[in-house]
Amino acid sequence: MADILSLQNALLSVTGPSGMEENRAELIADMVGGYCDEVRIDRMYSVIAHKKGNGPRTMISAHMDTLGFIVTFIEENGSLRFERLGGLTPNVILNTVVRFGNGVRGKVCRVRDPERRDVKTGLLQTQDLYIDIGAGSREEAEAMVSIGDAAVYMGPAVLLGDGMILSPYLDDLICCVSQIMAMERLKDEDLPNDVYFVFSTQEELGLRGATGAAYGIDPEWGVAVDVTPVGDGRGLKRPSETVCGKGVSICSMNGSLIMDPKVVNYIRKVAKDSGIAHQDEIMTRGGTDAAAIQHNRTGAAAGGISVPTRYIHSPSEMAALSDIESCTDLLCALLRSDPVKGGLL
Amino acid sequence: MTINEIFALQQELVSYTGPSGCEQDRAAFIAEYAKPYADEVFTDALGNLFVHKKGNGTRVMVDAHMDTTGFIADYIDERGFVKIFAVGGIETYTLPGERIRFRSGAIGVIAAEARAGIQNKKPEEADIYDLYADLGVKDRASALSRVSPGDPAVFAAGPYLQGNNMITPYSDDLLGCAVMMAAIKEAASGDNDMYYVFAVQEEVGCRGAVVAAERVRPEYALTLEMVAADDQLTSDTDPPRIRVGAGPVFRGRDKQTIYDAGFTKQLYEKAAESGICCQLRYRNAGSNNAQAIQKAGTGAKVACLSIANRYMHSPAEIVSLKDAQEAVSIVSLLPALELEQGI
Repeated sequence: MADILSLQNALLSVTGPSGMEENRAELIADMVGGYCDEVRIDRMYSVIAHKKGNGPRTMISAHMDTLGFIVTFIEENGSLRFERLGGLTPNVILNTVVRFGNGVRGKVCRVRDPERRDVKTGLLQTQDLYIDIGAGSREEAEAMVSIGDAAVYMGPAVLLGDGMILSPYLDDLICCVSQIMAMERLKDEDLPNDVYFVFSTQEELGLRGATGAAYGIDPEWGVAVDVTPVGDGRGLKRPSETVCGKGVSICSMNGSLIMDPKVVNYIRKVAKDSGIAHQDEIMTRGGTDAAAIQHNRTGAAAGGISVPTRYIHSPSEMAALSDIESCTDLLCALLRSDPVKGGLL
Repeated sequence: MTINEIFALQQELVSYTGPSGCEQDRAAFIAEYAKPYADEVFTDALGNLFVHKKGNGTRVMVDAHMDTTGFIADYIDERGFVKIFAVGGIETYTLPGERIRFRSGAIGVIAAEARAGIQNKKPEEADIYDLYADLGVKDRASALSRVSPGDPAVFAAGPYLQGNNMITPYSDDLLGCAVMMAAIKEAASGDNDMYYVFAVQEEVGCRGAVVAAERVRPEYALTLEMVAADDQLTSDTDPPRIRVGAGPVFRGRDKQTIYDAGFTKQLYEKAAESGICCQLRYRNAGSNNAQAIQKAGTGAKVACLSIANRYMHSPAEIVSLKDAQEAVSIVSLLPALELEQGI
């Protein structure tokens, strides 16, 4: 059985920013082909792995796209202007080394002229930034990178401290890892759910891949698996229930939906009955694929479970291995439970 | 020396956690490397490393500093988070999200105290007090098993080679050290009495070079350093004066030194004879060990050979190893260079 670290590094080895997930889709389809009855890649490159079961149509979704830097303009001196794919913060990305799909590396830099800064606030904006790939001219740069190419943070993922993993893009590759591990564990079992495992695309741009996937699957219920910010760093503005190391978190609300309390209580009960470490989660900002499931067609019961993660959207996200294990355990427990008998549907 | 060999040296030099004051491990590696090519190799009380190739001619000192900027652990809180201070000039604003490595090998991430709101500050308003390092540990005891207050840390990324360019932290001045190591290995012997000095504590005020120059009392001295390139996007000089990949740079003057014009010209012309085109820089900014060496004892004739460097002191500097390769050829001229004696 593959371990968390090597799976995460395998997923990081291909570049897959939002809208450019094809290579990662093929990699994942290869990885999970043996764990399900049928796997396909849809028109938006979401991987949909179907494990047939005698029960309601169930959609489990983790997104495989990541934040990125898309090239918009190449300057005369070979510097690359870019736009952000997803929620990147200027002071965090500044000075970071990034990698394009073809292996070209560059560094995020800032133009020097102060008048380019936002006049009112003096704050740094994306338009103050560029990527330096060491090219000496526009021609040299064009031989390395084209307009529309996108770069990503570089790995590798490493283990550190007391059972923590440090990696870019735990959001949401670590939940893809969790989903793959759950599929491996469940591969020989008969489940009371007809399960579609979705590795969705373009989540960081507004849940776009999962929306199409959900329409095709038409689930009766579903669960999104994603990361959630934690309140255990230093100097917090306000307290938060969710911390690293206390187990998978069960979401009641995020910026894109309010979960039906019936779903939340069902997931909590399954976690409790199975003896899985879990905690509560309220996310005041940011959305997940759960909204795509809930708002699909005429609506569906949707829940969310998450891996509590520090420093989300930075090149160095951090999460507890034990929480990732709990997340995998809870996914398995949920799919082994019968939501009809459990009173959910 | 090939570009790949210089890159391999840089990789090794970067692997040591050696900000100012903690250069010992790196010095030991350099000493081991230089021994076969030297008459004597020794260190002084501050940790400066001297590689001496004896000669009867003029006493020449070549120096590069082997310390880097970095961090120092200050205070470890109950939950194991490590408050840090900067060693040398580092821009605080861009640090959140960077990986650092402590001397024990423990990896940490630099994080911002949420209450500090660093992302909503102007770059110049960010403060090192806003930041801390997260080792991913469960408590103070676990943190203390990895990091003690006072332990040094450095940026952990790179280096990467892309064409002739290297993306790395600390080419300042580890690439200078690599150039000097290559020259120690490759230079044909000559009459001059050569002292190659790997100096400590440059980033906190040229402290190592002060005592090293006092010991060597050179007649001529060449400092190997990085110099800020200004060919990046919309920099404040237009057109750019100093470009990455356009050859090594001789300084005419900088903030604290006016370099010896005769010595500089002699080296510049010798380089040109062997087909190396150098850049010249007169900008009144930056300084280095040359200012300490020039004023040591009764004074020395100094020159500074620099390598153009974009984004100095950041976790990812960009330099050309072709420039470094040419610098090796120039430094290799020194043992046999005809220099005035007894000035």
